[in-house]
Amino acid sequence: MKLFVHNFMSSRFLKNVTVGYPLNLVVKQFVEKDIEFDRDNTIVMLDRIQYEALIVAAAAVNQSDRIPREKPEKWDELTDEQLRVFHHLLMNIDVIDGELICPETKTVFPIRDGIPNMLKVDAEK
Amino acid sequence: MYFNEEKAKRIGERFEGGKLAKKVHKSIEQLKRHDPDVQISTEPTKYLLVSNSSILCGVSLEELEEIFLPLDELAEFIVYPNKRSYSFVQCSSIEKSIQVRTELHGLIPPSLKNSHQPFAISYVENLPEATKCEDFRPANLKIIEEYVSSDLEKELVDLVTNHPSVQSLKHRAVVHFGHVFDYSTNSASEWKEADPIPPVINSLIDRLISDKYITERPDQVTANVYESGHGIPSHYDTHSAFDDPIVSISLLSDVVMEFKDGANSARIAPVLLKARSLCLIQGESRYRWKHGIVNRKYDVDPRTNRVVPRQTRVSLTLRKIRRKPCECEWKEFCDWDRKGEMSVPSNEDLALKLENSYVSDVYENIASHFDETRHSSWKAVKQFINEIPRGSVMYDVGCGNGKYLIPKDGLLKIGCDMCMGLCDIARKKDCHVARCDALALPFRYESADAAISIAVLHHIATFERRKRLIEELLRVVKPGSKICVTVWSMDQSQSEYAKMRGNKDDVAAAPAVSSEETQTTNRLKVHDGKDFEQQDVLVPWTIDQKGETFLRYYHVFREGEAEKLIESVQGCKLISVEKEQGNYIIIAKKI
Repeated sequence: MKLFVHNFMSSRFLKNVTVGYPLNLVVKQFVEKDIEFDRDNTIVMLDRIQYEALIVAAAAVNQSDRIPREKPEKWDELTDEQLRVFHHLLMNIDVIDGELICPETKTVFPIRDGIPNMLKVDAEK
Repeated sequence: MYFNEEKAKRIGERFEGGKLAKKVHKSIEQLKRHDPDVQISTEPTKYLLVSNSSILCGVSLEELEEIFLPLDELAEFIVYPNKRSYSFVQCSSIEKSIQVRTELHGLIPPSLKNSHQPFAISYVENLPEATKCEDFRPANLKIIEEYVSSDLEKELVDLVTNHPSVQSLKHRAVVHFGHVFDYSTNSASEWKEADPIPPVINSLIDRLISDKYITERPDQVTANVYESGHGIPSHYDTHSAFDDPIVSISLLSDVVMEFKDGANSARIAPVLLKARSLCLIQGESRYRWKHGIVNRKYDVDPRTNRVVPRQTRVSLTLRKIRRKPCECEWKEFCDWDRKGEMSVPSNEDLALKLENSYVSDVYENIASHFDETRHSSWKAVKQFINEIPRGSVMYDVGCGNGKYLIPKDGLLKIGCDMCMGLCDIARKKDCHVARCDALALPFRYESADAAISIAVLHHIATFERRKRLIEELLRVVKPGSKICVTVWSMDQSQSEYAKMRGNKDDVAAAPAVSSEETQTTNRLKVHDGKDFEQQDVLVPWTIDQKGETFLRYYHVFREGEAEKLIESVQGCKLISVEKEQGNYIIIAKKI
């Protein structure tokens, strides 16, 4: 699971969960794979993400210190170098083994072989 | 109208010289491919290889007889229902054979109705080896040849044909013993007793028990007299009416009984029942396969493909009336709904159970085969995706093998599927996927610009749940965003699926001998024909290489049903419902 995907996941579908976002992330194993960087695409992607969840994801792979604590005002004012850091975090890091945890109910959803299993029945077992 | 004069029917024309030599060469090439054990002979023999003479070329056995029998009235035929374009003719002598070949070699016989190809005729040393009949048999079917002696055969035939209670049906005469068989319910009526089972049949039953072919004594015996040319339509012996096995004894004439897979009527196993043989239709061959006898005056022996004339045949069917509900493992083919297990679900719990067994579990089993066969995309879906502004986020709910996720089209796409096997396959193709239930999407509220859900909605078993799928799709997209949902339609005319199933039984043309109950209950049915008879069906998925069949649950949509569903969802506006090859492509918008 790319960290980009984590940015869109939520446990709102669970009973009695009002926001369910961002999901806590535990990373037990991840791999890094170079996906080609494209300035325009990266800006488009950054426009779609929620910064608070990106901070959670960066922390889960011990890379929070590489990105600013506050969301940059305008993505297109960033240099390629700065954008590459975000690109790397969101697209190159692939979580193979880990957990997604609902911030409200603490329900645990496992990530195995790179695929998060968001089935409620499996989580409740 | 276009008409090519050169292609006009060349009736009665005869090919000669190089043109004919070419045809001969072609037929020998085909022979080498299909029947390598048959040798071409340079000297005349009794056996003739006749090209362009099979059903495949539009030539019927009747036409062959009409052409060959006047030249040699004792000629015998070996014909093929498929694969081969040639037949073999066995003449009564070499002299006759030479005469037949002289008359017909290179000729387009004037009596041919459909074919305009000339017969190319070669002498062959031998006929093809007989194949093993067992290869074609459905599981658990058992045949014991010469179970009945000629003396007993005569005694049984006399008993049946001279019986005072013999009753004439449309195509056959019938007499019942023990209990009357009721053709309106296809079961035996407990209270309607028939003449008692005669001693000669009773002692046959004793022998069946002592030979351990059966354990329980049959209490209902039906004897049928079939005139040559008559048979019986394909049917199941009603599960709930009789125990296992059904015992069938053939007398006087060999006959080919056709077994058809209840999950795929194109899978036909022709089985030769010889005179005086015992046939035990049991287990899978009884519960899952239909059996019947085609109305015709000859049979083609499945082992040799030799045409055998049919004589008057007497059959005895020995059955034990079932007094407890059927509990066979082929419950999808059973005539009762198994305490609701096989009915169209009426509540959430039953729907979930059905979807688990007949959707989720099935996809886990067929995932890799599914991946091999699913590549082409729906035109309308492609167009929908093309119209989404680049850089948008799109969810693919029920992404399967990822065929809509793979194209690099400038969209940010995330797929999900309930099936782990398919998630794995899509991930290996570098797609972003999560495993989830389409009715509980793990995505952030209003986070996407579009969503698609292809061929998922028809796997959901109640209206309420189908509605919830639409609501879920709307929940995760932003206001103003569009969703695209496709479902199977009940009307499959013009579809690839119908073309693929074109060689199957037409439901209307082959009325199954089914019980009254099946027609009135709200029961799931295994889909077997071209047209859907009802909306809630189990559709077979067959993996040919493995010979495995899985049944997937479908709720196919009627005309107007998609519109109604979308209207019932709050905050949803229908944009369009388009029909493409047996599917409805629904496009709607979140207001």
